[in-house]
Amino acid sequence: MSTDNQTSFTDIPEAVVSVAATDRSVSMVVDSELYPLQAVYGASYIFIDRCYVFIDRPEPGKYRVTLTAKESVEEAEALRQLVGEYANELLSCAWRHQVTQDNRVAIETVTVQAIAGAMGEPSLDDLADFDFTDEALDDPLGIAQSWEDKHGRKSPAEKEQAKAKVPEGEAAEATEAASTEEASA
Amino acid sequence: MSDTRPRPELLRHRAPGATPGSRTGTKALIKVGYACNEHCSFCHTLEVRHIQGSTAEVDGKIRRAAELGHEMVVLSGGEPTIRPELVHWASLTASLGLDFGLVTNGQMLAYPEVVEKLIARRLRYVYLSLHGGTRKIHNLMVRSDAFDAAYKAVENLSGRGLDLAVNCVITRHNVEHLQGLVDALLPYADVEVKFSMVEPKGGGDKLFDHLMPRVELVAKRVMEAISYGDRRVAELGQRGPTFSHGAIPLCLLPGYEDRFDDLKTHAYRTMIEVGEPDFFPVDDLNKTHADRCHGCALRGPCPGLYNGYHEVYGATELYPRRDRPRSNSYNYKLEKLVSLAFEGETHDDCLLRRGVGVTPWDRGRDLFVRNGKRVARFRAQSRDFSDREIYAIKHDLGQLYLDVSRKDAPDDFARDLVQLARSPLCEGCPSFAECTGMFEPVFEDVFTRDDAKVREVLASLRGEVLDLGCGEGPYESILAPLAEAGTIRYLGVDPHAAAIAELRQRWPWAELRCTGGEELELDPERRFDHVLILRAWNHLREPERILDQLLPRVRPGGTLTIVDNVAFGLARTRDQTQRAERSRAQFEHYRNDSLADAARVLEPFGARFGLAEIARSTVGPRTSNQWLLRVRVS
Ligand SMILES: C[S@@+](CC[C@H](N)C(=O)[O-])C[C@H]1O[C@@H](n2cnc3c(N)ncnc32)[C@H](O)[C@@H]1O
Ligand code: SF4
Ligand code: SF4
Repeated sequence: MSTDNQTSFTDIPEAVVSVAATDRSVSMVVDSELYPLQAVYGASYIFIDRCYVFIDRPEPGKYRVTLTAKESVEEAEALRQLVGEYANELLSCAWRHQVTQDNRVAIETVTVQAIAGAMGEPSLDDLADFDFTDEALDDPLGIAQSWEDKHGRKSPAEKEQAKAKVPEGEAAEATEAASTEEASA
Repeated sequence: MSDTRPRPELLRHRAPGATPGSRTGTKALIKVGYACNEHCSFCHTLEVRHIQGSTAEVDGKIRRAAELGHEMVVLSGGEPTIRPELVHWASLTASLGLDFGLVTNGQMLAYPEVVEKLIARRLRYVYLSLHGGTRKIHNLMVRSDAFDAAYKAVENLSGRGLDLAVNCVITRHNVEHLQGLVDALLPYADVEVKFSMVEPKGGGDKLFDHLMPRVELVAKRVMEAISYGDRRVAELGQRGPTFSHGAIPLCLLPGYEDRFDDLKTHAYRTMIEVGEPDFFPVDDLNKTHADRCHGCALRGPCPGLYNGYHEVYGATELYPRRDRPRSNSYNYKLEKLVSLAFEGETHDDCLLRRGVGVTPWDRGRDLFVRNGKRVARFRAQSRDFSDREIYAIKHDLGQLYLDVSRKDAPDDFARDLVQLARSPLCEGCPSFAECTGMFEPVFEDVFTRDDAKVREVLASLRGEVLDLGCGEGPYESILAPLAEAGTIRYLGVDPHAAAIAELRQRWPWAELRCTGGEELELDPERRFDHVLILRAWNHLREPERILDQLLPRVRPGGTLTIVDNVAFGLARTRDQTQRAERSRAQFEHYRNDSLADAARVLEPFGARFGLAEIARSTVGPRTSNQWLLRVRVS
């Protein structure tokens, strides 16, 4: 691999630490701090139709990716283009990797559900029996209680509403009489 | 004014209430049941609090929402967060690739863990009720000790990248306290604070006298609150909160008309109540536009009044805006190719009856078009027209066209537009009446065909002719020979200087005046045998006044001929729609009157001038959008 060709890669994409090219192949060194291995794999995968891809680790903290054209490459321009494309791919894979990390919990939930889905739609009975204990929410303050349960009434609404009267509890002082002046505090 | 072909004024398309780019993900609203941990006096689901949807029912509806192509499932109720299945429903929704949203009183979201769990499951939208900025006001309204939890929820949700709206329902109890809510929410810059008129439904209906404020007062206080909020936000140098209003007639909110906010600005497409078999489009049928609203330029986006309010208080508070022009067309934008290999011949084969569904589609705004084997779905988002207007244009008037031009605005209708009509597939279909329908192109030039009637009238003219709104002189081939032969004496009037200047060159035989109909000054003795108002009627601000001036000048036995166009919908590709949205044309019409509307204006003159109708052609499916009304004066 001759480093002479380096000059034709003056505008090295940011993703890449250094580039070296021969007439059929180009290799790039990328910083493993910036680009996780998964992203390197991901980007490389995109190119396996067009080139042979070889990944190694020339020194700690660096990956080297070598793309070798399957057919002979006519001009340096074509190689330059490969580097550019690869760098873009790498960036996008790294980004997706990051997003995946950020959303891991969500994605796990989704995956679990998707696998469940692959076993066919649950029947209505299955669903009715579904055990929600895993996904149940703690409610130490008893917020999720219906108003009727909390106030110990079966259907309080009817009578009160008809009379436009207030029930009991905190709000009792308020309702009917609550003229706007009164409520202005 | 009038020219060869009516011009569509395409379109101030962005819904004025919505920020472009935001809230584009279409939402399905699922009511999971009506039980609740609060007991709001005004609650519109007050009478059904005992009904709860089963887990299976809601699960099935979430799957159906995904199937319909929605991008977000929003749960409401009653109170959706008191259901133990809440997280399961969020998970299920996320597993189907959809975002998750809640309409909620927010109390459960006071628990940070609940918020975390939900955000991890794609919670992206919360529409939270808070009806006052203090315990006293809010608790009074919801008849529970709920303020602290709901307010805490706002704190938990703010700054999390959610689409977060706080809805304040206005009754007589809080109408004087809106600024308190503004103050309470000032620290949360990403919140949209929405002020909503209470709906007379459920508790709002039962306790009507007790709760219902006058809408004029509500509008006044809302404007004060918004202007106060805007000022405070500016003083603090913040980007928000933002302020909006709902269910208040726009004529009562001068200067704040574009802050309207409703189910459509939130991109809700469909909803489903407990027990319903399939989704239904969200609509505005619980509200009404009064007769006075006819010709109001704000009518498109305006919610009008709640039916129940209108019944009690009438429409005396409204001030229709007739001084502003409005659009005369709207776009249907291509949303989806539904099928490439549709071979159906009868309604039994119809895609809508086989999976796509009949009820979920808006009968006006969703449009299915079949061309041979291809079926595409289009959608009209325009807020220049109300739901009812769009429905009438589509079904009663049949004025839908496919734009086959490459122009921003088609200007040669005969060439640029292909009419769409209800497909033979729909014939005899049992779902006909509730269905948005399948439409097909009609390959006939309806514009040229229907304009022949106008040409016929013109060819028969004799004597003194006044052509009000002569525009660029589209009927030269008929008028010129008549004038040159001395059969008619022609006076053309139009306010467009360029058009008149050009006609002066072309029409040496004509008397031409550059003025609007309202300003036209004539010799007191001047009389006419025929008055023409050709595609200029809807440009007249006050047609009554003009008739009042002109009818006395028509000789006994003379005629008045009025021709104009009704509004129409244009089905267009995404590209076409985008181009049209970028080119902002000026609106020129004050109304989109139909023949019936014009006849109503003529009515009061009938007896005085002995008007007798001698010709009419109305607009309907398979006609062009042009109508003609001709009366004789005796
Ligand atoms: C019925 S609630 C269900 C969700 C939840 N329990 C809540 O209150 O937010 C849906 C929305 O309608 C509002 N609402 C209830 N009754 C109303 C009425 N009569 N008029 C206007 N809005 C009403 C609520 O404030 C809430 O924003
Ligand atoms: S409006 Fe919402 S919070 Fe209030 S009672 Fe109705 S369902 Fe419950
Ligand atoms: S007049 Fe009618 S349409 Fe116009 S703004 Fe008022 S309520 Fe709305």
